Amino acid sequence: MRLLCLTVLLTAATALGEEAPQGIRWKWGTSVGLGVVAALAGSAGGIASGLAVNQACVAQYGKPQPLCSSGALALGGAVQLLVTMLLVPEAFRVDGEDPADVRVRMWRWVRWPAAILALSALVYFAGAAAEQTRFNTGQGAMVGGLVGSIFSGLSIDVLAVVSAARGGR
Amino acid sequence: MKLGRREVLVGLGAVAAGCATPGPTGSFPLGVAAGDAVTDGAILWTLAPAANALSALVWREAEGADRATRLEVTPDEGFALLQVNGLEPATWYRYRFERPSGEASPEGRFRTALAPDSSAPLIIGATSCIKSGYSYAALARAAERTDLDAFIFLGDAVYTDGSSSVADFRGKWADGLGAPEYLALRGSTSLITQWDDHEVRNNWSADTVDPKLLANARKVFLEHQPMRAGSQLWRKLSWGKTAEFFVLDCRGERDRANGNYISPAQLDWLTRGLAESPAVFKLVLNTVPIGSFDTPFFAPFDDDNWQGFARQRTELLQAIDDSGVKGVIFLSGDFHLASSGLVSRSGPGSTLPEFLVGPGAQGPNPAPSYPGLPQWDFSSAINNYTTFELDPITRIATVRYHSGQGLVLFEKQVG
Repeated sequence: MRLLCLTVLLTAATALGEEAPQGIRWKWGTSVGLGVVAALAGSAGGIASGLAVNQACVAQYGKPQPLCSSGALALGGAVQLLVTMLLVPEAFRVDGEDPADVRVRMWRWVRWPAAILALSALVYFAGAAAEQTRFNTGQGAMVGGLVGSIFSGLSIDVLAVVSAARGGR
Repeated sequence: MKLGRREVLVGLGAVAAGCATPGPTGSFPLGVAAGDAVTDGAILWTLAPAANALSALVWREAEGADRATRLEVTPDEGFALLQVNGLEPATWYRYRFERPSGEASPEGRFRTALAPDSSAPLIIGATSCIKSGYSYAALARAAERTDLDAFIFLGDAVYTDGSSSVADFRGKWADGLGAPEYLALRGSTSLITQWDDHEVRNNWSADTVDPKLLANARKVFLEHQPMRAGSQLWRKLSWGKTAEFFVLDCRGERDRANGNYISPAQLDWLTRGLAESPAVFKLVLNTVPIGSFDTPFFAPFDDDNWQGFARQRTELLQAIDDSGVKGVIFLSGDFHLASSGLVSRSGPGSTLPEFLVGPGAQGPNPAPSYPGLPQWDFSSAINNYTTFELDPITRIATVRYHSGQGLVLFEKQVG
């Protein structure tokens, strides 16, 4: 799904060309393409690190532990955000941009889904804490936190590339 | 190096041949099995590719093969099913098949069922969900035991998903059953088997699956089972006054339009059978859980189990409650997790135990939280097999979950 969204984004950004309506300066395909790859790397890193923690807990305890999955979710989100913020700006070096400037521009957009991600992780944690004590007392919150995390994680991917590709007004 | 069309075609052909699922090879590539034991016999099974005639030798374990009875059987496309009768009850037997050339199969063993008036204790093994590619260690540990009077394969014994033709299904069964651990377990005692979804297709239902696909899957499933099958796959097996096994077909008679999870005839047979059973323990082999797994993590799958057919579920549980029958134990599988708990939190079924057996060789259920207190007192994702020690004198069943490392993961007594 993420790949599909980012592909659409890439196509749209490329089709718009360098001079888009309303004076927005869009980047061409190479840097955007690299940005998409970097964003995917962020997602993959986040998912992989979260799964690794979760699998370690299953191996340790013989079954999933809600609190452990809460930690895995938080770690996965943090890894995704970190890798995305580190790598995506680097993709725009090919256009001669300073990654530091791109990073600042990105953060203006990405901070909102990042905040939702943090909030979702907190909601998940609250549910997991209840669930750890007694079955089916926190699953609703865990589901809510999970949905919020997926939504915000996807938004981070998309907005990171969009904000980086927009260039300055 | 130049690659002409001929070389490319030859190369592609070689790759295709390598990718094709190999058929079983050897004289008896899938070993032997016995199943659906009764007081005076059992059904013996083997696969002997290309054989037109086989002999089966059966002898008491306490005696020797030189005192064997020899029976003749004509395989159908290599699959041999032989009903053996005239044996002594509650007795261990050994058997093997022989080709006319003298090539012999591995030996198998089974115990005939208890006599109708017998109240001897029994030990029954069980598991479900066995997928090729995962560790078969739990199967190996179960196969090492010599004290299991029977072993239950509660569905998903092989994952045939993606198959459509008879040849496809046979290839998947050959791949799934072909592991030495699996062969050893199937030959180690008599089997009680039933299908679930992956013998056909994930979460299939009789009213939605392609009839041709279902016919092929059913044919190949039955080709590989030592079981009595007529038009219906549900049946009862009696082991004296100790236990009766009600083997349900939870897939093949679904009728969503009328809210039927199992056919009315099967439901009537089950409720009557439980109420009238002379056995101390009534084990309902259910394949798909009947427990109230209706929490947010499990509810999305309710449509595939009893929960999605509330009228019949309540009817069954209410009938058991109303009859006052004791000793009913549900055994279920399918969920890729082991659990011990009660069927319901309250109302009908709230005093009935349900044990989810398996996974025997599968990945864990992905739910981030597994069943726990107050309704369940154990759950695990560790590959395992379960034993049920049934003592009809004390009326206590001791249930143990065993890991592939030989550890007892959980033990509980129900009475």
